Amino acid sequence: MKYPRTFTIVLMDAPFEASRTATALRVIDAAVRRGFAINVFAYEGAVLLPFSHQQPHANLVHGRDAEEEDHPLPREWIAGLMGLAAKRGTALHWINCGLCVDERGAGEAIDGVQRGTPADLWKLASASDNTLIVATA
Amino acid sequence: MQELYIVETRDAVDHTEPARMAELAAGMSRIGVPATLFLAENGAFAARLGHQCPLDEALAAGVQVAVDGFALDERGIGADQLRDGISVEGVEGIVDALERGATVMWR
Repeated sequence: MKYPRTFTIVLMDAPFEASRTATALRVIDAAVRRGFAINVFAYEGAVLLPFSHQQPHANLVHGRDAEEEDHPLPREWIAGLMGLAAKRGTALHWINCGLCVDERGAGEAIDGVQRGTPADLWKLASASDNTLIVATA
Repeated sequence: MQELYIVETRDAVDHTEPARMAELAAGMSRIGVPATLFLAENGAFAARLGHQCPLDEALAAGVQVAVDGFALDERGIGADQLRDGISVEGVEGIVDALERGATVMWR
C-alpha cells in the first residue's frame, strides 16, 4: 500500500525512564492524526517499549489497587497508536532492532511489531520524506 | 540545509548544551537559514521571564522560539510568565517542520 507521506522516527530510551518517550509518542499521535504514515525503528532500551509482558501495578503507598492506580503502559499506548493509524487509513510500522531485543530478552512484543536490523533503518529513512532521531539524553 | 528545527528538552540551568543549541540556531539564522527552537519537557523552564539567558540572543538573531504548552502545564508555568517573543505551541509544530523538510534535531 502506498501512503501519502511517511516519516521515520528513531527511538532509543527504555520505558518508564524518560519523558522524551511520551513526547515522541505525542509527535507520532499528531502525525498519524494528520494522515502521515510512520515508521518507528526502536533500538537499545526502546525495544522494550512494546514488550508484551508489561503489567500495571498497585500503589500501596497511596492505598490504591492496580485498577485505581491505572498505571500507564507504553505497550498499550503503542497498540492504541497502531489502531488509530489503521482507522485513519495510514499505518504505524514498528521495527525493533533484533540485536537489542536479543540482548534484553525482549522478543515477546505486542502484535504488529517486527524484528529488524540497522540496515532496515537505512532503508526506511531512505524511503521516507523525513527522519527524526530521538536519541537518549 | 533549508531549515533547522531544534527540539530542546533539557533544562538550561542543569545543562550547558541548550546554550550551544541556541547559539547554533542564532548562527544559522544569521546566515539566512530559518531556525526554530522548540522548548519541550524541562527545556520549557528557559521560556520563563528571568535573568538573561541564551534564548535572548537567539530571539534577537531572528530565531523562532516556541514552547510546548503541555510542558508548561505540567510545570505550572502560565503563558503570562514567558519571555517576549516566545509562542506557545503543541508538538504539531514538529510535524509541520518534518513536513516542510526541515532538519529536525532532538536534543
